[in-house]
Amino acid sequence: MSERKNIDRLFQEKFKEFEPIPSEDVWTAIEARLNEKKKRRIIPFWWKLSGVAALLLIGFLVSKSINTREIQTENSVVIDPNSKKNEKINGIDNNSKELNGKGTIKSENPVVNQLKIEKEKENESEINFKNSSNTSNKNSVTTSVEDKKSTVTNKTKQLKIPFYSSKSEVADRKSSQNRSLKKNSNTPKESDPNRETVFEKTKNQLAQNNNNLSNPEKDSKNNELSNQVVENKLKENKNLKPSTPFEKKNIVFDDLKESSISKIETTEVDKKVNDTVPKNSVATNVLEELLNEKESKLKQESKRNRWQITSNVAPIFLGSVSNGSPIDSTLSNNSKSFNTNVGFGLGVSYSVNKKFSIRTGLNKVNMSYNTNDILFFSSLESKTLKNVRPTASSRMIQVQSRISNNTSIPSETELLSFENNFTNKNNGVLRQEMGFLEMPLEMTYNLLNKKFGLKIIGGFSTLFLQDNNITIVSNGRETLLGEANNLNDIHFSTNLGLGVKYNFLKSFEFNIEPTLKYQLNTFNANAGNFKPYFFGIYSGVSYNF
Amino acid sequence: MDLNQLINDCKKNDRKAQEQLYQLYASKLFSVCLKYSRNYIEAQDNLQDGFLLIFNKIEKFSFKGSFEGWLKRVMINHVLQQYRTQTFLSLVNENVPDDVEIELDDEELSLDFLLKIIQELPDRYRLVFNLYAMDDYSHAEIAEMLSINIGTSKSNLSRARMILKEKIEQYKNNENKTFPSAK
Repeated sequence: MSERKNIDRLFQEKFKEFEPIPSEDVWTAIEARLNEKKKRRIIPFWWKLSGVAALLLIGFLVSKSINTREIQTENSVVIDPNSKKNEKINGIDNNSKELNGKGTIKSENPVVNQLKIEKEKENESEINFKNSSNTSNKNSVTTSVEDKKSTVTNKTKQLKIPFYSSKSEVADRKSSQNRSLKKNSNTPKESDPNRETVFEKTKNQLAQNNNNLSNPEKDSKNNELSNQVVENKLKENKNLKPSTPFEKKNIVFDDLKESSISKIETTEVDKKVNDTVPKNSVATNVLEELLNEKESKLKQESKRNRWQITSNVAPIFLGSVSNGSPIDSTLSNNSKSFNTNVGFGLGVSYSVNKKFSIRTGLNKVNMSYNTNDILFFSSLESKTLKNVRPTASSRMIQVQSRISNNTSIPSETELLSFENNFTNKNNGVLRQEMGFLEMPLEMTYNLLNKKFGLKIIGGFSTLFLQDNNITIVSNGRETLLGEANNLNDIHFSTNLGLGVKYNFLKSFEFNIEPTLKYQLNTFNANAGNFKPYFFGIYSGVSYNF
Repeated sequence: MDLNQLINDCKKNDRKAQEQLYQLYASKLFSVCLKYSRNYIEAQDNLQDGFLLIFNKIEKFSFKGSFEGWLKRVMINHVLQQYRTQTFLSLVNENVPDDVEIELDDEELSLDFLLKIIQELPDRYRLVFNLYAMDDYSHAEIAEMLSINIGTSKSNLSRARMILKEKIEQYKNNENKTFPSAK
């Protein structure tokens, strides 16, 4: 039965009860996207966290280096009271800090030395450096005299270090020996050999000067030792100011008297006084040298080439985990071919310790792929692909897949009937090009770090969109179709790679780092199940400094 | 379960409620998508993205008016959005008769066929025809939604009707040719 009918009504009635059931895939896709959104929220959060972590790490490193400096400066100040206290308690200070404290200790030396010199002057008789006699007994006595002086001064002024300034170990030993000497002042022989070794040590540590010091006539160790002792004293004498209370002198005097078995050879002392004038400067040089050595050691430690600059070039292989199309859903079944592009960049890395280093940089990455088997033609109406923002001139170009989708509609029928008559359809491929500026933040872990090195690289990259265009390529000709409207301006990638290096010069090395970068949110929407990743074999030269 | 309760759960981003809502309205909204889209795949895409939009926007639903109407509006707007970025070329003669009547037998025309010819319409004809004929929007509303003027909307509607009529008649003729005995 037929009737005349308004066409609107026809459709209305027909579609009133039209409730098609969509495929179950739709819900799973929606669910996936809903979950994905949650994940996406997590990523930037994670990203921020990693930023915070990096900041903390840097902050920690900086503060650490500052702190160590502070400690060094503090040492020279702080150690004095320490050593005083220690001496009060023990009479012995084995703090290694004394090394650092030298400078300050040195400044107090004069007082002690002054005592000695005054002793020497006032009680000419007692000055005992008896180079003439080679007997070890006397030698020990003389040293014990000195030791006693020192202990006396320690008691009175609580200063001890001047004598032993060269090394704390020596100081320890000496002071302990001093005690034993005090106790066993009647049996000097016993302590002799020890004393010698101790002095040898001090001698060694005070470096070469000693060689010059010894009197030409006498080569025996004893002489050298005594020379050295004298020298030590006299070196310091220079700085003296004549202002010490008499009481102290008296004490010293008494002590000296007790041990005054020695012969006095003032002439030699005089000689040595003369000698020490030039040598004094040498001695301070020794200290300076020690200081310098330490400083240079510290410098060397910090110099351990923590920083590294790297340039790199890499072939970039783009790929997709799944075969979708971010351009239009109708192209999702078309085959894609991925082009190899070149990326290049600069990087900076900082080694936190021997194993770990952090690095960042700036890379330019280009990638492109082709969607094969497309038809294109000019049409009367613009009906562009879903995710393409066309240019003014390409608006009338229609692009279709040559492969029939599982739609019931063959592509031809989408045209108006008369359009089919004059449209000239061309075959071609659709090329999408994307260029990014990449800023990686990566950590590397050295598995092997010799001339050859092996390391694992892991991290994140932030990619800033730079180039974005979609081109039709056909018979060697290209037509710009427009740009993708669903590319994010900023997206991230997770990076994982393996690095091999070879040191070919002291601070230059050659690197090859095959790295896989899986892109997280390249497309803001309608990615069409296209999950890109790229694989780059980064090779380059880096310079350590 | 109470619909309002379901909506509230959806507002809390409860996955089960969202699924239930989807199951309730998917087919109704899918019919909208099919009519407004070019093909089945695109309709599916639109349905998917539209639902994501709905779940996103459901917080804004204030229980005024019908929920189904709201869903439909969101979905239609979403589909229109897909075409809004595209420019239309007005090649159309604006003086076309207002009313198109057609002589037909109801049974002859399958729903699939009608859907097919709607989808085959050029984008704007299809949108205007759907909005006006199926979803009862006025020309003024359509003009605003598509950022065109009212005259264009009217002429697009007429053109759409003409094309649809042409295709239906063509289809009938073909059938008569293949099965002459049927008549």
